[in-house]
Amino acid sequence: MKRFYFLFLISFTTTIEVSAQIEPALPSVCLNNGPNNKNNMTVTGNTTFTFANLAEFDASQSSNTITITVASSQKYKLYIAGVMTAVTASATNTAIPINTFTIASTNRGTSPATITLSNSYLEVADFPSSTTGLSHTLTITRNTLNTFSQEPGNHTLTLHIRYCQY
Amino acid sequence: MLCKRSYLFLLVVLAAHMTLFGQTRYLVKTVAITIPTVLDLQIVSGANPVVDFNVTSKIDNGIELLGATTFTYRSNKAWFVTIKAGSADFTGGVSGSPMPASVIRFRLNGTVAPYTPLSNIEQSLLANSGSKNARGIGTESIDFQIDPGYNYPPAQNYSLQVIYTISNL
Repeated sequence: MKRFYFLFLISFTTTIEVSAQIEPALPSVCLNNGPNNKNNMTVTGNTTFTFANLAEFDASQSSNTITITVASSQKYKLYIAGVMTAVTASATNTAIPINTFTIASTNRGTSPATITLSNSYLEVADFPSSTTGLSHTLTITRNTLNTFSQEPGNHTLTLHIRYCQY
Repeated sequence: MLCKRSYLFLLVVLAAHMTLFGQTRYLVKTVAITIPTVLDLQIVSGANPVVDFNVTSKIDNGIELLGATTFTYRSNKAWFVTIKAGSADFTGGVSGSPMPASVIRFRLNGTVAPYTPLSNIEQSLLANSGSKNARGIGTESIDFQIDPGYNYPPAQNYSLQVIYTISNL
């Protein structure tokens, strides 16, 4: 008689990816219906802000190179929130206030023309009659930054972009 | 012969891969803001104060100019400002009888500190390299006291350059 012994190595692997920047609380209504090709968005483009001279600290700068393309079979809204990261964590440094930035979106529908960025989701576009989705180009404006409270170097604005059907 | 049957249970192990955020309904975009070092000093009034000892009492008592020169500063690093004369003595006057820079004394406006004689060696006006002011923006003024007395020949062309320097080093 032959005996066979099988050793089963059973493992359940769960990988949890945690973003360094935690997503803000979702809007109250945020549905997720339809197949992926009718329920998704892509974001293209990049932007940076620099200061060519001292006078630019007393002026605003705008950039409109980021576009959100939505494919949706039903009505949807776009939301944006922002988080500023200071260059260093030194006690003498001050992060750029998040409300230094405003955002406007093309094809905003009934949403406000401009929002002042915050760390909570704010609605930038509302397309209540969508059956296909639209492209939304964002105009990001940096307002004056002339208190010189921020340490020189590279500061990072992280935009959280959420697409919700409703 | 006793036959044992082994039932092989095939257990399918599924690795569950979870992500906390949907790849296509939530996205993160980063925007870089690059802030250069800013260090700026601008004289906004009193760049060239003129002092006229046109009456004897002014020679007796000297002349005090409160807020004679006003400047603005902008710095996004800790900073300090120094003051010095461009030379040890005034230019002009009578050859061989120089009038020293120390005839001018200075202090920060709004203080009750005693006046400090000016010289061609840098002196602290606002903070110093060992104890700088915090980054920011603001306006300051300087008081001058000029008291040559009767020690120097009369002339209408005495002139002295005053140099202000802002530093973050």
